[in-house]
Amino acid sequence: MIDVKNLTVYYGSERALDDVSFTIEKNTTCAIIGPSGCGKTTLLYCLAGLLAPLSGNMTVGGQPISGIRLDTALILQDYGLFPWKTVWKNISLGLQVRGLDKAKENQIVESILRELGIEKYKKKYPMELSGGQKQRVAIARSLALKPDLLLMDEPSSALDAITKEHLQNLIVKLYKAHPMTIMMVTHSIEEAVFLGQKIVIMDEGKIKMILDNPHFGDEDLRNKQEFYNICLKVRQYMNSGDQDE
Amino acid sequence: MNKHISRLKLDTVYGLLILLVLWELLHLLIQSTVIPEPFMVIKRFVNLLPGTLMSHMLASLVRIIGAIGISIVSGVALGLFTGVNDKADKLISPIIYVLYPVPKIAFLPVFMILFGLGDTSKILIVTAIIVFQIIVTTRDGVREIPKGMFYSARSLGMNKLELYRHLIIPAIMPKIITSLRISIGTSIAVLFFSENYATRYGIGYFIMNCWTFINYVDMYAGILGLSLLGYVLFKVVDYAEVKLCRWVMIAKEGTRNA
Ligand SMILES: Nc1ncnc2c1ncn2[C@@H]1O[C@H](COP(=O)(O)OP(=O)(O)OP(=O)(O)O)[C@@H](O)[C@H]1O
Ligand SMILES: [Mg+2]
Repeated sequence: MIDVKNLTVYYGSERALDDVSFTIEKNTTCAIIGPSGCGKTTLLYCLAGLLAPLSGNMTVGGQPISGIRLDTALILQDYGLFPWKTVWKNISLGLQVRGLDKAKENQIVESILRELGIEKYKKKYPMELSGGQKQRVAIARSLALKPDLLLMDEPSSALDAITKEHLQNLIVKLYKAHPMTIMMVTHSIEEAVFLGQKIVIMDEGKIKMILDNPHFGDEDLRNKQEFYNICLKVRQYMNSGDQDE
Repeated sequence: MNKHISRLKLDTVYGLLILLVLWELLHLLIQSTVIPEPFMVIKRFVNLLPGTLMSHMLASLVRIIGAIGISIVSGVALGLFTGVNDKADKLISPIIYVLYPVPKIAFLPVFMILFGLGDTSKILIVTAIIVFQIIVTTRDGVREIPKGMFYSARSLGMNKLELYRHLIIPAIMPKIITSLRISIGTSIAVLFFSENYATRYGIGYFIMNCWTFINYVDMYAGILGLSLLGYVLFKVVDYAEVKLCRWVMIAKEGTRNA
């Protein structure tokens, strides 16, 4: 689904990504983890077609990325909801832009509101919602477009521990109900292990290591020993090469 | 929605009451014809309104609306253009910064020579004074929109026009409302000045004329008319804010209750 070869990105004279290559198969999930400033968001923006790389090749679904792709959905770190639109309007916006007729639009929004359990907030504005509710609205807005690729930037970083786990469970549930490729950025090792079939460890604009995680999809995973074994493994790979750790 | 409107009404009654009390106190304290009794002025105002004041107020209103209308349309357009386009900003902003602090009112004679003694010069002088503030506010408003919002909008598949409609215009609307309020205040002050030349219509002219004839009660009735004009305009803007920026009202309420 995603094929990235020798991707290099600069901001001015600063190199944000350095010769990054990886592939992600269709309808699998991938978690990107790494320290702050290592280029995770930059990589996501490139895949979303928002940033043009200096060099390298990127294809999504076999097509080279050139600008916005309508079947790719992006959820930003701060959710990217519009404060002047109600929950309903935020969710229907992408559909409206795609020129769907009103009846169809209403039907999709209704069903997605129901699926995510946020019907009762439909007339509220984003600032009237908690972080977890906002995140669910952002997910609803993306899912309404029936994407085949969902990009998420630190979906749970602003949430408390309990809400975080609820959200992670929700993402697994949605993934099982709607086949799509999910690529997410995270700071949390536990989140990466819980949500990534593939775990990409980054550091300073480079990929340090790619791990396969056979335990993905087990909703009870957090209570099992294997979970902690993998977390430990990821932690060790992340710290390897660091003198001060 | 109704909650906001009725709240506006209550605020109005309260404001008026305080004003009347202060006025009456001042009248009692100073004991001079310069501050007539409020009740007398109100009576005079009611008498003068249909035949005399109304036409003066209308003349002023047309000028104010004309000036604000031209300023908002051209100011917002230029502000958007410079806010979105860095090259245009580099070319246009220095000119705006140089012109902004120039006391345009001093050029009233020039405006009168260039645009005649009629309404055109009066409207254009007001426009020249308020338009800069609108340009700068709009431009800064566009710049303040978080980058992530643009990313979010673009990733939803919006084209340029939709970016304006769903993102840029709503984001700067609260700023436009604020600069509208400032514009109303300024344009009334400027108009008062410019209506003292080459016209026999306009509430500014009426007030100064009464003053010349040392008719303080009529003068105050005129001031009341001018205030009323400004007040109605402010309320129109308040109403527009409730209608167009509901999210801001809700945010304000949230912080008030918190
Ligand atoms: N718009 C920009 N202009 C200049 N430099 C930037 C810009 N955005 C990011 N950078 C730089 O590029 C590097 C990678 O940034 P990026 O946002 O991709 O990191 P990140 O891994 O997402 O970090 P975090 O975990 O803190 O979100 C950083 O060193 C950052 O300072
Ligand atoms: Mg980031």
